[in-house]
Parts: sequence; C-alpha cells; structure tokens
Amino acid sequence: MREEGRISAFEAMIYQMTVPLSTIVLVVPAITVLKARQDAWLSGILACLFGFLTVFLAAKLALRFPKQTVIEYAPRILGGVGGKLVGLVYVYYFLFVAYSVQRQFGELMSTGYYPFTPLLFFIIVLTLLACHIVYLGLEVLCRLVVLWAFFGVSFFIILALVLKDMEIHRFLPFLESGVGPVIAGAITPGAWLGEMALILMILPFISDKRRVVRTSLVAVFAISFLFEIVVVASVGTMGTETVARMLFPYFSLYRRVHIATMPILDRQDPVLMLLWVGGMLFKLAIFFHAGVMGLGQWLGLKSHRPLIFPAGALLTALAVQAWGNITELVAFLAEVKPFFISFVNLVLTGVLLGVAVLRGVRDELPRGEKRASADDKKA
Amino acid sequence: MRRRTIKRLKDLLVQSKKPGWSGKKPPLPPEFQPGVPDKVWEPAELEKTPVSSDLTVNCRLLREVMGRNTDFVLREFKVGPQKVEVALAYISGMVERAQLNQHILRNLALEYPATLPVSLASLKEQVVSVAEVKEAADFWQVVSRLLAGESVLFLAGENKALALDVRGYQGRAITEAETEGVVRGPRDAFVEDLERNVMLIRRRIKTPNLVLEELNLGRLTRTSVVLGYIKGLAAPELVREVRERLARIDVDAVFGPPFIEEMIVDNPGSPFPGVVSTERPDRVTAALVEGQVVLFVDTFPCALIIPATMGALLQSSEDYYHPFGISTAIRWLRYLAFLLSVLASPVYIAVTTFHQEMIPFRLLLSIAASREGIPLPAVMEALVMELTFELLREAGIRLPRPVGQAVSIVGALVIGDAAVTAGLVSPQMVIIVASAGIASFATPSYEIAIPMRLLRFPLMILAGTLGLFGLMVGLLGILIYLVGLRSFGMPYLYPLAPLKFGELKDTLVRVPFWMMRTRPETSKRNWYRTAPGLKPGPPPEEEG
Repeated sequence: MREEGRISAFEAMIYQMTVPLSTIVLVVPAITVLKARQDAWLSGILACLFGFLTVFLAAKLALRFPKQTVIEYAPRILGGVGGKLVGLVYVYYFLFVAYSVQRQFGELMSTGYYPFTPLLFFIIVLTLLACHIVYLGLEVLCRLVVLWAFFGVSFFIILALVLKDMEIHRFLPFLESGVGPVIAGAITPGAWLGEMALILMILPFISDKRRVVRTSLVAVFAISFLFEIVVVASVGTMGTETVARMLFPYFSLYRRVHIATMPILDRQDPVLMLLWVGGMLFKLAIFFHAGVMGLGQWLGLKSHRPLIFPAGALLTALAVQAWGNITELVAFLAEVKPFFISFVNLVLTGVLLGVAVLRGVRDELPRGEKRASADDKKA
Repeated sequence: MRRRTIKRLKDLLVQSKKPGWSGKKPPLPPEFQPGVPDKVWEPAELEKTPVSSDLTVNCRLLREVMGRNTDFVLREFKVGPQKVEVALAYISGMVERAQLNQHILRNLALEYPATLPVSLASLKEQVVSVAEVKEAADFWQVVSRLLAGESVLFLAGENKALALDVRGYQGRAITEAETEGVVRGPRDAFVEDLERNVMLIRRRIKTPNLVLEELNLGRLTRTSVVLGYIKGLAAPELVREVRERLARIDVDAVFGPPFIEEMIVDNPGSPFPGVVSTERPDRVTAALVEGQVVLFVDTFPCALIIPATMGALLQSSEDYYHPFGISTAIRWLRYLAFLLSVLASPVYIAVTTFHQEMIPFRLLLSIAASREGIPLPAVMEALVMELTFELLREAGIRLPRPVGQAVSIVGALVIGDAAVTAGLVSPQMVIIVASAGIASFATPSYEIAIPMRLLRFPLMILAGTLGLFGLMVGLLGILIYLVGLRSFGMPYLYPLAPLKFGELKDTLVRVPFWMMRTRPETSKRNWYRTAPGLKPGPPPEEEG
C-alpha cells in the first residue's frame, strides 16, 4: 500500500512543524507558566533539548527502514505479536491525538467565539474538511501545509507590536524555587515537540531521505523558538500571575496590540483565529492521515480510503464524549497527555530502535535516491 | 360581344383575386419531386467505392451523393487536342473562382500543350498550375476533399482523381484582441480561420522543431484540430497524453475548443478551467517556448494552452512588455484584485455581523449610522446587491449596442443611488459590491473570474451565518480543492503548491529577462534559456 507521489524533505520539515505548532503556541504556554512561573522561558529551552532527543531517535529509527512505516516494520523488530501490539499502540496514539485536537478546537471556538453554537458543529465541520484532505492524500496535505506556512509567519510578526509593553522585572527573581518547577514546566512542551516523531510514518514517501535528520532537528528548533517567543512575550507583557490563570494567553496577547495611530490593528484576534483554524485543521489532518494509514497497514489493507469516513465519525464521537468540559480537557492536556505521548514517542521509539540495533535489523538506504540531477535538465 | 366582355371581366376578377396564379404551377426542380431516392451515405460505404476509370460512372455517383446541393458544381469539358473528357467538381462558395478559371480551366481547355498526351500524371506535373495537388483513389477521399473546399478533377480512363487546392473562402479579418487587451504589445488576435491562426504562430517561431499536427474530430463536422508543440521542449509524456486524450474523442460535432476541453480535462466537474483559453498569439507563443502544448480548433477564434495553472490564468502577456518592476507591481495589483473580487463582500458581511470589535471605533460609528433603518441583514443586502450586479453584467453582454447606455444609466442611478436614498441598502454596501465587481474585471482571464464570482455567493452565505469562521471554512475548502486539482498531471497551484522557489521568478514577481535563465521545471529538457551574464551595464574600465 503506497501513497502516490513523493514529497521533499523541505515539505516534510514544514509538515513536522505543523504537527505541534497550532497547539503548542495556544494551550501549552499557560500550562508551562503555571508550573515554572517566571522561569518558563528556561522550560522552553529544556523542552527543546527533549524534543531534539525524541525526534533524533525517531529519525534514526525511520532511516533504518527507508521503505516502510513503523507499523510495517515493528513486527520485524519485535516479532509478530509484540510488533502488532506496538503497531496498535501507535495507531491508537495517532487517532487519540486526532480526537483530542478535534475537542480542543471545538472548545476554543465554542467558548471563545460562538458561545451559542454547539461544540459538535465545529468538530463536524473540521472533521469533514480533514476527511477531504486525507482522501486527497499525503502529497496534497504537504502542499497545503507549505502554503499555510506563508500565512503562519504572520502569526508572529505581529507580536513585535507588543514589545514595548514588555518589562524585564516580570522575569525576576531568577530560579526562585530551584530547577524543579522548570523541569515540571518542560514536560508538556517537550512532549508536544516530541509529536514530531511522526516522521516515522512519512519517511517512505520522502524523496531525499538523507536530509531528514537535519530537517527534523531544524523543525524542532524552529518550533521551540516560536514557543519561546510566545512564552516570553506573554510573561513579559502580562506577568506570571495573569498568564497562569489564562487558558489561551496567545489570544490575549494578540488582543493587547494597540497602536494609537493605527486603530485598525486593535483587536484583530479574529484574524488570528482564522489562521489558527487552518493550523488546527492541518494538525488534525496530519494525525488523522497517519492514524488511518497506519490502521490500513496494520490490518493489511490495500487502500486505507474506505476507512476514512468511518474513522472520522468514530473520532467525532470520541472527541465529544471523552472529556466533560474545557477545564477537564485542559487538566488532561497538562497532566495526562504529555506522559502518554512521550511514552509512545520517546520510550516506544527508543525501545524499537534499541532492539533493532541489537538485533541488527535494517534495510539499506537506496543509493542515488535523489531528484532528477542537473545533467538531465541540461540534456 | 357582350358575352365576350363579361368573360373578360370575369377573368380579370379571377385574376385580381389570385394575382399571378392564373397559369399552371411551374414544375418542381428534380430534387423536390417525390420518389427521388434519399440515400444516406456512410463514410465506410464511400471508402469502399473506388474512383472508376469510366467518367460517366464517376459523375453519376458524385451527382447521387452531392447533386442535390445548390452549391455543388460539376463541370464537364474536354481537354487537349485529343478531346479527352474530364469533369471538375467543386463547392462554389469555398473555392476561389479566379484561380479555378485561370489555373485549371484555361490551362486544360484552352492552352493545353499540343504534344503532351493526356494523362493524370502529365496533368498533375505539367498542366495544372496549382501548388497543392493530391490524388484521391476512393470516393470518401473525393468527397471529404470536396467538402473541405478543394476542387476535384476526374479524367476519363483514369481510376484516380486529382484534388486541387484552390480554397478561398470569406473570413473575418485579423482584428484586435477583444477580451485580452493590452496597452503595449502586439494587437493581433486569433480569427475563426485555422490556417491564419497557425500562420500567426509560425510567423513568431521560426524553428523546424515547432510541430503543428492536424487531426479531424467530429463524425459530422470533421473539424480540424491542430496540436502544436515544440519538439525538444515540450515533455514527450505531455504530448503523448494530450494526443491520447484527443484520440478517444468520438462525437458527432465539434464546434470549438469548449467541446474538446470538457472531454480532455482531468477534473470534469471542476468549475475552474482545466486549460487556458486565449485569443492572443503572443501568449500562445510564450507557452510553446515554455514547453507547453497548444490546441487550435477550426472556426473558433481562440487557442487552448495545456496544462493550465492558476498562475498562468492570472497573468497577462502585457507583463512582459513593461519594465520588470512595473510588471511585478501590476501583477501584484492583479492578485490583490483577484482576492478582493472573492473576499470583499464576505469579509464585510462577517465583520459587520459578527466581529464588530475589529472595526475601528469611528468607522464603526459611520457604518452603524448608515445601516440604521436598513430593513435587511447585511448578508441579504449583499446577496441582493451582488445578484443585481451580476444581472447588469449579463444584460450588458446581451444588449444591443444602442440600448447599452440606457442600462448602465439605469444600473448606476436606480440601483446605486435610488436604492441608497430609499434606505434599502447602505452606501458602504454599494461601495463594497462595486469594488468587488471592478476587481473581478481586473482579472485577466474571464474563465477564472467566473468561477470565483460564483464561489462568492456560498462564501457570503457562510460569512453571514458563521462569521469569519464560516468564511475560513469555505476558503479552506476551496484551497484544499485547488491544491488537489491537476491539469494534465500539473498541479493547479503549481509553483506555490508544491512550492518551487526557483519557479516563483515568473509568478510572484516578474524578474528581468536576463535573470530568467531557466525554463519552467515542467518542460524538463533544454533547461537553460538565457546565456549567463547578460545583465547590461557599462563596459569594464580599461586599465592604465
């Protein structure tokens, strides 16, 4: 079972960046600040290192099997039953992230913007769009996220406008209660950065595989940098106490933009919401795609397309019933989800890599695997 | 005497009642008489009928096939001193009479060389002074050449006929492009005549590698379709693909590119054009040089460029006739207009209905003041105005010229001014709708402006019901669709998705020609088009 077409390492990098971006700048800063207080920016750096480790292991594992996804080669590493079990955990993990994304999206829309519209409506709309993307395949998905990255940059440029409100004393005192809170605060963003281990699922479709380790690390660095910007900007302008009480500090930050001579820039957070809708859609589509494709491979199907709509409906139901309300959701995101996804992304991947190295299971990376060379073009 | 007078008067009376009807009914021409066999000639049957060496058989058969037509002429005469019988058939409206008289009839009947024996070969080689002469062995060839405007010469004792190209029919002169006007640049546009269209291209590209293949489509119309590409530049797979898709067309009639277009595009249900349709030869030439494939269809004044991309549809050939900085600026203006034509009304609806906090305070006051007393919600107001605008546009195309003025006055005054004064719509809404309308006319390609105008309506409804979120959902849906769309294997949003930085040189900006060193990646071969180091500048200063 193969997707048609191929993607470049650059597209894969943007794909990886899209994975955590839309939630890491939105939900995570509040959680980190709640735990690490004014030293949240240090947590960001720590999380970056954690992300490096996870993604590096994942890329190394993926490159050992350049023609298969993790679902396909797990049985080769761990043997039939164990491999299938691990494969199922991966598939469940992808689908789990997908429905948690659905719920996060629905909650933000219905609490933040449309209080009288039922949650389910937003989830269904987003899921239908995601189904369409998944149906069109990985190639289209990657093109979409690259296009979206153009707009995504504007997320952050506008933050330059709150620079003047930042005050350095809000970051003091430095390391007030030791390194413990800093580490606690790093867990959530670190786990989120680890989501980029999704490279395990798309590596077979990348045309220039040798660049993957480098681009993956660049992706981790870029996203933790953006996360750092949001954390520093929100703590610097609003102070630890305020940010820790918020759900979505980034939106509040956006609302604070005020330039007396340009009133048109005031309160442009609906525009941010627009970009964020796209970001969430692509994050959902990425995990949905990985989950459905993984499920198809796990079951040994020729095509995963028939699974798309049933899986979408199932995810929608799960997204609605899994959490009672937004507070429960945020608590879950802060306390439970990081450990689960870190378990999959770091522990499971690490175990697979370790066993694969010990048993010496690997495929050769095909030589000359690159785009049509310049000679062809000149001919 | 009296009786005679009465009879004459009676006759007069009868005649006055039936003027001119007193005599006998004139006989009908033979074709109208009942009982004439009305045979339907199938191509296969004609193909099986060879040209006979007996001239009378040929003439009888040809009369049977074509004889009923008023424009069919079969002229029999004798050639040379041996008085050999010949017959010349042609369709009177499609040949040039002077040429026919001068080069065929006179040469054959009057000035036949006395010593030359009369045979088809000698006629062909030494007597008939017509450039293009072909032999036809069966009646299908004879008839199809005849119907294409050639004249056919039968010679007694020969089982072949000569098809002589003396075509000459009336056509429109080459005029200025109507829908793709430019300020600076060539003015000529395609006409209905295929040969002249092909000539316009050939004049611009003088390489033997320019191939213009012809094939006939449509069982009844036998329309000539010309497939053009440059060997060594166009990807062979693309040419093969186009050829295959054309070959599987089997219809009765082809009246122009739209008939073909709908049968060869990748996504038949797509509202977006799968090929670029243009009436400008310079644009076609540029496409050929970039390795694309071009289709011409007889009797239609435009060409199809394959494959289509969004970028190509939003470009105008004028971009290359102005300095690159200005061209880039104009191009961006056009992109802006394109976005404005889609987004102006939906954004206005969403912001005024759902997100008033986004509007600066003073502007909000003026909008609120003008909307006070307007009975309709913003979305209905916008829908009504947009609908009116579309009506005016459509009416403007269909109207006879003298009435056009009246409609524009009615449109501007009644719809614009009176509706505002009567308090039915707000002035802001008129501004928004009008600017969106103007913006949509700034889109260089009519084919892409139309689907966008249509998509505006669902977007307006989404914006009116769900605000910016609804608008975003609609736009994302369109974006996903466009990214997934392909035209002959080429992604529709090509240099943007998939992103090719190198290709943006002629999409996002228009770089100067000395920087446009490579062809688009799709042409695959002959990568470099400009020699390096062509940037002009002062000569290097000499030493010492």
